[in-house]
Amino acid sequence: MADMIKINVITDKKYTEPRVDIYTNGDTDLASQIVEAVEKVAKVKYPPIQVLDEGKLILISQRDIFRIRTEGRSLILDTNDKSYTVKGTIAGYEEELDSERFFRSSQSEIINLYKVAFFDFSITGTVGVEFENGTRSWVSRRNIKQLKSRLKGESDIQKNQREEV
Amino acid sequence: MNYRNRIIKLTLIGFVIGIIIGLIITISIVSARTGDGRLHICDPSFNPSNTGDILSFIRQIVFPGILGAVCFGASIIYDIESWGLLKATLVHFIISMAVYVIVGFYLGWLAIDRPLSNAIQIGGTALGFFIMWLAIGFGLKKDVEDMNKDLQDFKKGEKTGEEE
Repeated sequence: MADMIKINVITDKKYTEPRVDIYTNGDTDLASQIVEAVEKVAKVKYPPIQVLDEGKLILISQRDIFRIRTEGRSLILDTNDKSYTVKGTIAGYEEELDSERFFRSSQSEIINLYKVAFFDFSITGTVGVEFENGTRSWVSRRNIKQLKSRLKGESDIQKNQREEV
Repeated sequence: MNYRNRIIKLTLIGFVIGIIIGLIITISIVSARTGDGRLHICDPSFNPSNTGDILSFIRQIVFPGILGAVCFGASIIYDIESWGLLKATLVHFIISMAVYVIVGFYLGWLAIDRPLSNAIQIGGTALGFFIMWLAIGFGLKKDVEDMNKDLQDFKKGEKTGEEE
């Protein structure tokens, strides 16, 4: 039957966590659906993001994402090594991504706060963001208050947790 | 609230504030200038088309209202994310001053034969914008310093693996 998917289950004690490898002839739609099904079963809270890279479907962990930004009509996902064009909308990714890790810094960008090296302020009145890999972005003035609260709130929680230990 | 609704709201608020401030200034300056111990709500010299006092009065409150509407409505410029604070303040200043000069000459606040008074009014407005720019700028600078301090503690709490 043409639509059958062959499934091999390998039992080996060395696999402390289940692992799924998908072999496909390039049918990325089917591969994508299988990934979604597996994520659903595994109840992955913040699943990796699926991107197409030169026709191949790859999964990018949210931890590795520096930012997602609009560029013209396209949506670009930046990692340390590479940038990928992804489908969807900024608003859609804002819901999908880990809300503790990511912050909507402007209408056109979501940044990974754990990848931020520092913020700076220029004489023109722009609040800049420099990431750990040296790339730069900026934060909209409207979102500064919210960003401050986010950083302050989380840092207070971390401090309290350390003091308790 | 979208931009269109925000501009409408700001413009209406500005119009009302402009009327109130225009009224206060007109009454106080004209009454002081006349010096007869009475409150005057309309500049007697302002009667450009020889119309009655009521129309003059309406002009003297509507035009400051228009000025207020433009100044407040134009403050939507600060919401343009890609514009730095300096650019936004400069553009806001230019728009506000342009309307102020037009209204000012029409209402007699400014006059060709009163260069010192003109300089004080325009210079005073420019100074006001400069102070506003400085204040907002210092506020943002302080915010950035606070954020950098908190960022280090924030990053120490990065989850390891539980989200995947």
